[in-house]
Amino acid sequence: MEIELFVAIPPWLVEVTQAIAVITIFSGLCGALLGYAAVYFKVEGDPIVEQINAILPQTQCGQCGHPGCKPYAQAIANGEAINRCPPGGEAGIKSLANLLELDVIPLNEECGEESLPRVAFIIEEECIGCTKCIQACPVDAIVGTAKQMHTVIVSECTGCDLCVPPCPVDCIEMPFVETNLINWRQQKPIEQSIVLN
Amino acid sequence: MPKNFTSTATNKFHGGIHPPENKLISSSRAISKFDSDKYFRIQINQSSFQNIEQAVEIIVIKGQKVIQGEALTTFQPLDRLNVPVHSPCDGVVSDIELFDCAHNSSFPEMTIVIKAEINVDQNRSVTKIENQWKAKSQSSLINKIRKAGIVGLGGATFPTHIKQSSPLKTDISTPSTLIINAMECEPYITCDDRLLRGYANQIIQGALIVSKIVGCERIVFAIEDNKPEALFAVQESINLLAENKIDLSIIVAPTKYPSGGEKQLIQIVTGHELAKQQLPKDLNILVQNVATLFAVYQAIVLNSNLIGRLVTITGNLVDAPGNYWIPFGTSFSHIISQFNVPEKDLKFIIIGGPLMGQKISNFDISTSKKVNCLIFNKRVTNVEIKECIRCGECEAVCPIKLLPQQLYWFSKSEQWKPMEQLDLKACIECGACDYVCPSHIPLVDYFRFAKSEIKHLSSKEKTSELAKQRFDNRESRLTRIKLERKARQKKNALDRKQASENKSVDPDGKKTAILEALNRVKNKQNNTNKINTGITGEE
Ligand code: SF4
Ligand code: SF4
Ligand code: SF4
Ligand code: SF4
Repeated sequence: MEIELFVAIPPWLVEVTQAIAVITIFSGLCGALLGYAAVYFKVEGDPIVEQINAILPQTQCGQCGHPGCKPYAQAIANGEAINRCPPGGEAGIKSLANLLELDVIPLNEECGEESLPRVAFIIEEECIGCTKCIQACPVDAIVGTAKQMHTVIVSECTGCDLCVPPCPVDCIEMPFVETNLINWRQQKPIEQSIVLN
Repeated sequence: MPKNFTSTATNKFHGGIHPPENKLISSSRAISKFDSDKYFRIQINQSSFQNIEQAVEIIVIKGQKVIQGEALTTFQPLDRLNVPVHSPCDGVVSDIELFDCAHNSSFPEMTIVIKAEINVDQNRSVTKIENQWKAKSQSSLINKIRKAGIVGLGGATFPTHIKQSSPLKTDISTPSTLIINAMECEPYITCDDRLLRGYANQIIQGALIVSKIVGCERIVFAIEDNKPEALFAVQESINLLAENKIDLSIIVAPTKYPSGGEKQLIQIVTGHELAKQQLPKDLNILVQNVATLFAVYQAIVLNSNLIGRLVTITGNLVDAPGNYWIPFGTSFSHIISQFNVPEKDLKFIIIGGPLMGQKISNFDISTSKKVNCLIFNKRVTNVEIKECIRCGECEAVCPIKLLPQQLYWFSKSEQWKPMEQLDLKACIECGACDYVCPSHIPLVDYFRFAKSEIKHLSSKEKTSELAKQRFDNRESRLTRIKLERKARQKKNALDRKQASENKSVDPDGKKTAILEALNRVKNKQNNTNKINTGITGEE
């Protein structure tokens, strides 16, 4: 009786069952893999704050009213206006608006003006070695120790201006970054003009 | 040699153009004498790797006497890129200062000025060391080439010692090949042509030296079919080669621009198209320009450093167009006066060819290793830049199969991401698209602009990433210090409190001592118990 029943199953049904089994197992495996990947490659922190922070220029100047770019990124994620970062300027506001699907608004003038990049310069002969600037620098770009002359690591300085006010002898200047053969930028061609041939 | 070693190229590359050649203007005159100037301005950085951090070191001081061929700069042993520059004459260092240079930015570059005491002698008698090089090691030959200041003299000025320092492999199926690039596909330029007609033997010698350095199985000499005299000279000199252990052949390609581009040349010779990001050495190939090989010959066999080169002086404003040995550092104004160029008609000079070259309207600069041709033309027409009509001409001629029209739109609207996806990086700035564009759009300028902006953004990203890391490090350091201080304060307060409590019940501290001793014993017992029972929980 049983044998007959077995034989009665048409071969196409066997194939279909097999196919279903294979697909089920396969998708199960894929699901497991995805689940594992989600745990294994888990992104640390709040991704949207990280994305905002990646757009902010990391000058860490505090002109936005926050003690650094990351806190401002957090604040933006919580709904603060996106136009408070002068170093990021117009381009920064544009990319933030793009990311968060907001309207582009002009820079808040209360925070400051967009300026060309600067870099700190300590007039070393006048430095009295008070270490005040070191404490102010948000990115540890100043080296020196008590009663010794201090100096700025130019490649590390973000030009945030924070070391200038604490200096008791006003020996820190903020000159513009010089353009040279390395950081020089090609001009955009002028449209609709006449060229010499 | 009975073997038929000359063949016609069968492979082609995509696109390309046939601009008017204008080569006869300068190629019909044999290499002639050039009266050099009294002053030479030598830029200290003349290779394509401009890098201030790895700047060459100047080893002469103002007022110092120098002799022809003496090194003026040197390089750090660890620095891989820079090559030195040399004095073109016997003279005195009269100045070391910033001077304008032939750079698009028109920024000045550190320059050593030499005042000549005796005229430059290009053919100063030299101690030929002939075949001694055959016994020298590869690394000593490369070192010598670097010390002689040799860079790619086809116009790209890539340091030659870097190209040569990766030996070709023998385990790949394609034979290791040195390709001699004698295409010279740009209009107007004829210096390689003339060099070959006069010095084919020396160039082949140079190729043999390089083939020893990189260890290659065959040498292919590639030339366009518009230079029959040069081809003949090369055939002659190959015939003269006494023993010829190396497989040396010639490929003649139909004239088409830019067949001298490295990728295009390799495709013509081997039929292989270099993939994106692939370098010639991945196909087991090294390409060297004829002028570079001549310089290698001079450095290794004649023991002389690179102090000048053959330069094509051409254009309809020049009274005697031709090819001349011009020492590096010769001022353009001297050349203008030597060739009686009427300055009122001269609006700009083209350095290099009309397609890839550079228009310069500042004549107060000097020649350098990259200057292989100077074109002095009277301005003919002004053209107006119009809107792109989407004709697709540019796509048809692009040898890299890029989409210049789309790249143009994205560059105009400053959208860099899609440009990177369209492989802007692969553009060789050959100018073929510019040339055919009916709207006269300066496409290459748009691409250079985009490349420069992309580079700027990525360097900005790098610095902001660095700042972020340093900021985070500082934050975590500050919080750590704060927490540590808090913990210390808490502990100190606790200690103080305990001490005062103890003092009140146990003024001379005897009780505490006994208590501590008891505690110690207890602890010990506890520990042994734990070990015995295997319990390792909290104390
Ligand atoms: S204003 Fe200064 S601190 Fe604030 S986000 Fe911009 S760069 Fe960072
Ligand atoms: S050195 Fe001064 S300007 Fe530069 S990052 Fe530090 S605090 Fe800011
Ligand atoms: S310049 Fe660039 S885009 Fe234009 S044809 Fe040459 S490789 Fe193609
Ligand atoms: S050749 Fe010029 S006009 Fe034609 S599609 Fe290209 S850019 Fe546009």
